Amino acid sequence: MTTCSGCISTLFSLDIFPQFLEKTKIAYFPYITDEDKIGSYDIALIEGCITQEFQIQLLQKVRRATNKIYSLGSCAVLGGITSLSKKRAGDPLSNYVEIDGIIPGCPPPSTLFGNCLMNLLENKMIKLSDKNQCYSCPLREGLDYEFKTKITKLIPNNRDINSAQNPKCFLSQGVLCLGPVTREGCDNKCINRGMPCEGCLGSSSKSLCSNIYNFLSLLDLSDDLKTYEGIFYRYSKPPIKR
Amino acid sequence: MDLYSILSHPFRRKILFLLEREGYLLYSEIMDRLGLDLTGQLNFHLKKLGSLISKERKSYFLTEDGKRILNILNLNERILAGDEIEHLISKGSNLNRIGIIVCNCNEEISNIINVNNLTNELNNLENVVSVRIFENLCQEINLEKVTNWVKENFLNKIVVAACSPKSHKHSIENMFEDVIEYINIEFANIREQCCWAHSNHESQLNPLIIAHKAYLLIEAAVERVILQGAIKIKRIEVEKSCAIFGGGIAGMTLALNLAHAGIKVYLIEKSPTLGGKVARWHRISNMGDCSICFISDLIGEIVKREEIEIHTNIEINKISGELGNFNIELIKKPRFVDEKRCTGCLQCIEVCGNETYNEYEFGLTKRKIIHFPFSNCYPYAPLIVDHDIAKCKECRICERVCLNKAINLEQKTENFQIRVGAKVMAIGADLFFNLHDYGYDPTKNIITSAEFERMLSSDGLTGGKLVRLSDNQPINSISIIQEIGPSDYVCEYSDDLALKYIEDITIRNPKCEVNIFYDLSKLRDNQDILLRYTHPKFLYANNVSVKIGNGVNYVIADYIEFPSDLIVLNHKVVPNKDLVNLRKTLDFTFDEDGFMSKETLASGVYGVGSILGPMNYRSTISSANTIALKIISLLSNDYLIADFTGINLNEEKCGLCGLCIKSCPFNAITLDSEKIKIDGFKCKGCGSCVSSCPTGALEMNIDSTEKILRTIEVFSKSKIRPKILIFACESCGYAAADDAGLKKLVYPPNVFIIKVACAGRVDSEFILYSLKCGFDGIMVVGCRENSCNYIDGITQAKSRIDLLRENFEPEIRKRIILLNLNSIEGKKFSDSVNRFHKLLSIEVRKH
Amino acid sequence: MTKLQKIVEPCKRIDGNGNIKILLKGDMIDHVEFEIPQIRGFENILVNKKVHDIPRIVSRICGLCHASQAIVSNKAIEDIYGISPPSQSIILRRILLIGELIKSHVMHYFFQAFPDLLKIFNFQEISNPYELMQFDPQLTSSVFDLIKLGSEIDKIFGGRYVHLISCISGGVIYKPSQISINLIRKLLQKGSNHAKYLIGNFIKLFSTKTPPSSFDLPKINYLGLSNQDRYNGKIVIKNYKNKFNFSEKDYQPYFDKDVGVFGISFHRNNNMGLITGPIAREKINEISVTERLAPYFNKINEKWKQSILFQNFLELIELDHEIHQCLKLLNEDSLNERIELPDLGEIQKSEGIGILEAPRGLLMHHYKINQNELVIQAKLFIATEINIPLMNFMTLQYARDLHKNEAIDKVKKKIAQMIRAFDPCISCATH
Repeated sequence: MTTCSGCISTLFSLDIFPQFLEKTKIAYFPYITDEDKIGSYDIALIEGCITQEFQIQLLQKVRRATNKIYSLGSCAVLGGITSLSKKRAGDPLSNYVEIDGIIPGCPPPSTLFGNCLMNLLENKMIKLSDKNQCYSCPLREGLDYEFKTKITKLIPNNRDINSAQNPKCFLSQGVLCLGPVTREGCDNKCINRGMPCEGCLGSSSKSLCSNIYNFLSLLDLSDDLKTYEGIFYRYSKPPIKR
Repeated sequence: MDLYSILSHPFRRKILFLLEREGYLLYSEIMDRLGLDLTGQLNFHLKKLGSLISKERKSYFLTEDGKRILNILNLNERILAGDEIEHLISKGSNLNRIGIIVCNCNEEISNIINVNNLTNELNNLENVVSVRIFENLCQEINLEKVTNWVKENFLNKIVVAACSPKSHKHSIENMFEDVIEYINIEFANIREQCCWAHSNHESQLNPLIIAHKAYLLIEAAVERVILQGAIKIKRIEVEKSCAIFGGGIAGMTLALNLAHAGIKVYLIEKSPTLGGKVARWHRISNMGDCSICFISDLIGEIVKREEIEIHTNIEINKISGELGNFNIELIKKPRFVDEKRCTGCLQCIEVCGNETYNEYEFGLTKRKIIHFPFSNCYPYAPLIVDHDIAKCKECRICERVCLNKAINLEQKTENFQIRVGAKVMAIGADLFFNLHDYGYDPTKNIITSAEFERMLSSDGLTGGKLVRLSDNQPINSISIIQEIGPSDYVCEYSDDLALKYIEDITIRNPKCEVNIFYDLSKLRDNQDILLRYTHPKFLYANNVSVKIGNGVNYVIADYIEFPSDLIVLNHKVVPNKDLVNLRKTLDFTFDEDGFMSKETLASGVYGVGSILGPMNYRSTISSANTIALKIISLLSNDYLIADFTGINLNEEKCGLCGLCIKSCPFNAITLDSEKIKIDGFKCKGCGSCVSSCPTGALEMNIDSTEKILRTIEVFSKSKIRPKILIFACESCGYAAADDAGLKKLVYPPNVFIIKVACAGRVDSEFILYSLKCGFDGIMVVGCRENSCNYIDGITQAKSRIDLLRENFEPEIRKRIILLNLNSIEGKKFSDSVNRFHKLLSIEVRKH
Repeated sequence: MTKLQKIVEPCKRIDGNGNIKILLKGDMIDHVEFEIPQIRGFENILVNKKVHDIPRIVSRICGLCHASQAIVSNKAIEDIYGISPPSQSIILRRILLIGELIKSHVMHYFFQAFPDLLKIFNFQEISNPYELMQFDPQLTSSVFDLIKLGSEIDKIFGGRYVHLISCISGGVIYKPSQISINLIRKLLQKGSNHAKYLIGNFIKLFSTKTPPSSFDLPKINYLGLSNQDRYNGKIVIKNYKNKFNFSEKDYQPYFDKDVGVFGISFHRNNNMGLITGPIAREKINEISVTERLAPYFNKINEKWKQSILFQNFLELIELDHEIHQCLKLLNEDSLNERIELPDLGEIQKSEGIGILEAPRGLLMHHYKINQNELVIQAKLFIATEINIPLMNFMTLQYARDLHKNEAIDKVKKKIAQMIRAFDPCISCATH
């Protein structure tokens, strides 16, 4: 589907990738096979969002031919970065067919991805955490439950990133972090590196968009951020029937 | 057969528990639930259970005996689990045998739609066992009919399609009391919000459309009642005691009141002595007594009561638990003198060679390091302040001189715990002390009202004489500047205080000129002041300032100079500086001026005295009396049961982000040792936290998110465009819609109303989901902004909807609106709906 | 007039989905085009975005050259704010670019190009990845190790395998421990051996063969950066007789593009094809003359050097070269320092340009911003976009050649080989 191939690229990088190739029979994988006909499959991992008509037909064809379909990556799960597009925002697969499970993330975090594949190989269901980033956040100590700090920035000042000795919760530094509305499961990679969470894993309950609205309405947000679509529709856009 | 052998087998106990939960079970269902294959085994156990269960029409249920035994079993389980305070009652069921009652309401319904057709359609719904029409369900004659109908059909859940739940919910719930749990009763409002709202004698809309709406309303109610699962309710044993923080007039009066009612009271004071601020004052206005005499009387009475335990010199460490049962950890700071051994002989003070500024006289005089705070203080024992102790340890003269060995310079802090059912804050307020603008300087005869009290007091720094602090000359002119401090509020007692001063000054020096100044430019509601009181000495000026002269100072009021031997700055009380820190341990909210909010009274912590704002003596006493009544009635319960319309926490999903803590208007949610805790008694069930919870860990017991989303889905089946969905808060929006119905104000039938506890419950998810399901317009109807039933629910809803709207393209923005109504504005409701409908019709036609 | 017949064949084994479109006029091939699906519209997405938010967004253009996209964007932003990153950050950026290149090249070479080479030179017909992996197990394990190497470099220095976290405007967030740097060093040393094996394997199999003449490049211009480090330098356009260079600031007289429309127009070289990527890099920087690499080149049949298939060999050479570069960079002292990154500060200019050499060639971003630090126009110049006209031209010639003897069904399969040799990146191209 419409994608940046980042999920495939991550797949190739996984420690268990060679093992994965051994234990499965790759039937259809445009990146490395010549096969162009849809056969019948046990498992389909589908990367990318839907932006074109032919993709819907292809997806439905795969759905009919496949036992279990898993959406791979934020594009397939949520719509992905193209949600920011005004012309045609990408749709998640679940808008068109029933999905049996998701492997979210942009890109899917390697441990989560690897565990999911292991589970699939053992014919088990994918198990994701129901909690949010805050639960395992390394900066949780400094969380101020009043959320009184005015949020003015999307990313911290460069100076604060490398030098901070005892980093505080981004929200109390005035930097917007979507950790509270984002599913846990990436080992807080961005936060550990000094960048706030962007929400690429989506939410564990309700839609990411509505959680962002609910969350930000509780914060004291600066005016320029209030209408900055780069926050609200970064990975998903709410579907609206006309 | 004896009971113990009946209950000895786990299968038999399990059968009882199953029947308790489900009400009725078929033979095959019991087999299934127990995982049994052989009928013989089950027959054996059922036989053994004997009189505890009974069978009717193939279904088994508990007899009265069985229910009683189960109660005992549940109790046993509790005791065995060591669970002494809390008791979780499980209600609800996974089985769905649904009955629908359509109340015709004296043909009000059938006048408009065909009720028989409606019931026929409803019969086809899944899980619906029986549909009955009643003429007037709310009449008591129907009671027997209804209960028989439930029993005959083995119904465990019911949908009542009738008038608004606001009018007869409780009477109908009472009607079903014995046969159906009331969480399993759902209402479909087919009268006010369907039949009456779409038809009056002037305009008659298509009855088929109205009937279809009624059908959808009932279908949604059926779906909701299906989704209702078991819920848990918390019960707490009440600890019959009360902690009062603050031993001033308010705290002591309250303690005495409670003690009279036989309630154990812990009177906890931060400073080393009871009495509070008033103890230092000359006398209380409108009372002849000097205040210290009055206070000592009060203390005397308190000390006598054995119900009252007094702790002074205390810091609060931690508070846990919930209303009815708090555990408070306290720290007793050392006073270095054993209160029990000390006889108050003053020997130690006489020998003490170290002096320091006397903070009790505002630093104007000196005192010994070991000292009495003031005469007649309680406990009557001297003390040494913590930061002086190093000096004392070098000297130790007092230690040697004390005959009773009461002085112990090695005294350490002590920790101790108390358990109470209620807690009261009576820590009073602080005095405004930012007085640079007025040239505050006691040595230059510019003093505060508190210092003036000390000057008037016979044990004070001038021994009660009116003399200048600079040169001890008699005072012949005094200017008092009133209301110094924050301009947002006035001290209700400042006039009284000024009158008291005039009186006191005149007694001491009849010739002394006294002027009382009000600076109107510094008072927000200055009109009120002008109207309030007039005394010839009261001067109201648009600008009041102080000029420091050589030997004599001047008050300049509107360019007129008043030479004054003494200037008294009557400063206001400001919120206690400890309030901010205490908020974390004691959880209460602030009002706009920074005092403790009176709203907090309802949520488990009580406040008395000037912690709530400026208060004179009389208001203080009456606030103490009111709170005493509340506490007495609270503690007269043996246990408290939380309202189960509240919320439930699934810890598996909770990520401890704290958004619920932020959104709760009642501070009912706290983070306690890495766990979110919900105080079921403070929780009013508004659901703001549920809508802000990003992981779905919090869920409403009754109006769950799943139910509302399902309702949206069912309503979206309506085919006529434009479709409008309204989320209405129970107390105002929904009531306004009912009002429109009662008044038969017509609006189109393709408008559906979903009841939510509070506008704050309206999750963005509901709105986005409605848009996804094809609703053309979404309206959120909540209370007026300053009269929200749940403090700031409507404010939260507003900021949420504003944010949502701002981020949509203009054509979608138009489709979402927020309305503030009160419960009788039915006209406004229907007008707004019609206007909205019209606007959307144009939009729909455009596409 | 003869009716045009349109044949569309999906092209497999490339990065992303693309189709080969052939227009037949009677029996004549009129037109061959590599058809790219709908553009995702990143140039439009970027409009009205906060300027420091851009790198995180553009990284999502491509999952293979994500680091190039993010870093080039950082460079453009630094241009706007008039700051330069500390030298440590530049080293780190180069390391990240190397990691990305290793992975990208290896994946293309092994999974996409190698089966074609085996087929063209009649070794074996490979029909699925399992046959490929069994062809030479040692080669396969080397390939997996190299993919892992590239990934690990980016993970340790960038935070994760793709869409790196640490690339921000102003520098690179740097937190790896000494242990992980040592690990990378070990992996690189191993990787160097793998690269040698890959090159040796290539030489063993193909060096004596002569690539089909249809794959020969016409006389074209080479486009690239003057510096070998792929990070700095001037833009160079070079052909068999001329060479001229200019700063990226002055690109507009030479080439430009319309926002949101596919394709770049070159003003001076319309009639001559243009190529960027490994072949152009070799022509401009001539790494083949270095002492270490020259022996490999000597072993290759001269015929190879005119062929587009030479790109596959150069990928392996670059692999080896960049692994050695990386080892050198890891020894830089400044990596041991703990430094503070400069803040962006005030806007200095209303537009900024960033440039570097991505694995597939020259990559340039050009942003215009307003006073509120929001982007008002973004132009993204992407390597595949530059190569596509030449690719289409060559495939058309090739298809016509083939069609003389073969049915169109076979032709359309075969020309896919040529397309793959160009290593087009659909993700990038559909930015």
